[in-house]
Amino acid sequence: MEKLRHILHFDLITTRKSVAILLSVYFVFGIYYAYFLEDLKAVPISIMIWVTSLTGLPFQLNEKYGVNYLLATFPIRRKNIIQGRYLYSLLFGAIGISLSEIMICILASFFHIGFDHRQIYLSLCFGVLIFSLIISVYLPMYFWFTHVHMLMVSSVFVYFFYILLEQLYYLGILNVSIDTAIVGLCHYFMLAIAIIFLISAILVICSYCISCKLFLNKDI
Amino acid sequence: MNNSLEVTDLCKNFRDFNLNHINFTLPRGYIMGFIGPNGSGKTTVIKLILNMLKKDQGIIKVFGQDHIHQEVDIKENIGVVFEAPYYIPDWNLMDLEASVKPFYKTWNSHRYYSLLKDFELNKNQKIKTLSKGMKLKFMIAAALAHETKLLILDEPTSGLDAVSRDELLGILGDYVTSEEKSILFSSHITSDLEKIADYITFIHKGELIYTGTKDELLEKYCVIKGDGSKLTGEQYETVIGYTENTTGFEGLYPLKALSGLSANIVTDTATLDDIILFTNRNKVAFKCNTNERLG
Repeated sequence: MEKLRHILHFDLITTRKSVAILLSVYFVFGIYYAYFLEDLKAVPISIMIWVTSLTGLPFQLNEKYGVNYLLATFPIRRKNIIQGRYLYSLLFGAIGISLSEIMICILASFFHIGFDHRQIYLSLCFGVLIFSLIISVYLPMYFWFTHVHMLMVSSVFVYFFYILLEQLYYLGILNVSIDTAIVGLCHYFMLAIAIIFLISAILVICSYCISCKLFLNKDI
Repeated sequence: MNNSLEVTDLCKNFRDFNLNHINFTLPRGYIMGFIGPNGSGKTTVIKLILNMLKKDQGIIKVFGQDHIHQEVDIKENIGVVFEAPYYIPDWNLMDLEASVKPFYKTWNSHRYYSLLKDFELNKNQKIKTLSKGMKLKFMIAAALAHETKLLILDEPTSGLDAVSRDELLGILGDYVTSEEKSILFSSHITSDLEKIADYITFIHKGELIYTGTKDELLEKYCVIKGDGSKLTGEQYETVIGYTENTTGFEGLYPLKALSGLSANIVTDTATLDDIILFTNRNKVAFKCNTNERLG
């Protein structure tokens, strides 16, 4: 656990400036949704997608400057590097969830928007699912191919896909959107949350096992 | 445990390059020059020692311990300096300490800042603003700030001016004053190694050409120059890297075989550079001669 903390600390020092810049971007998106759409359900999903792209930053910087070579000389095992990367990603996931909560409270009181807590929690869960899905695909790819920009690209792609779905729904082309699905799932609130978290956990665990398989015997 | 590093029968195959049966031993308290032309496999061997590359065959022991099973313990006692600084350029030298320090139990902040002061480096300076010589110095400070028993340097002097290289040799000389500490110094600039190395391991195109003491290697050979027609057929075969030029020929020659040479042939002391250069022209002859004479 100590080694993981050190890797996490190392990655945080690597990315501290970029984190500050990107956090301000999340607030802009949150305000956009609350003010123009008067819909807080979109805030968690939006934030989680952008948090996902943020988790790729230390990997990108490490690859760009060859920091992984340096890590390989430190008294840590390769498994620690994998665990550190997953821990960093999950930490940012947790930050994303917390940020969403804070943002919703601030926006709701600032713009006087009423909201259903169950809908917000479900939308948060969808955000977690999207986050887990992208991370689970990206991290094994990173450990094998070191495709560092993939995370940013896939996050942006997912984000615009989400906006597209919403717009198609508003235009009447689609009958169901993520928003309406969230409202529908409120009838099975606890079950829906449990299933979404279970799927997310399975995705991350499988992804971790694949990453270990790929990276432990790889030439750096 | 009398050896800092033991490499036995090390092999690694790539698609376009093979490292074949590398053997060498670095005794504790000594400096080993790891030489060979660019692309000969020096960095590959170092990466294998550090478990950055996975070996196909062979045994690597550092401080008598297996380099994979005891990886964490071993790396706690190793300092590594690469040719390039693999740090974030926007970091200053304090950020560097903050990020690296937690990994080492024996990290000594006082020693790190003291080394920076000795090297005349400003701790607030960003890495990207440092000159190449200064980058080398801060990498050495970072490598020596924890209790290292083995310092591995991979081409640290490439692109450095003579003054910086001389300063580095001074630092390394101070480091090995303790009998516990050893250095594996990879470089293709052999003049540096000639000054400080006790042992030499010479590889070429992935094959071990020589490993042993530097003095033994230098005492075995000389450079001969003159009129090629004065050589007998047997003598011609013995010359390593025979090269014709406008004034005659030159090549590397075993000192033991000098007695039969014509008086018109001029002999000169061989340097490590000469040995690499002529071997590069005729590796096979050198390897046969070396093995024959060194047993």
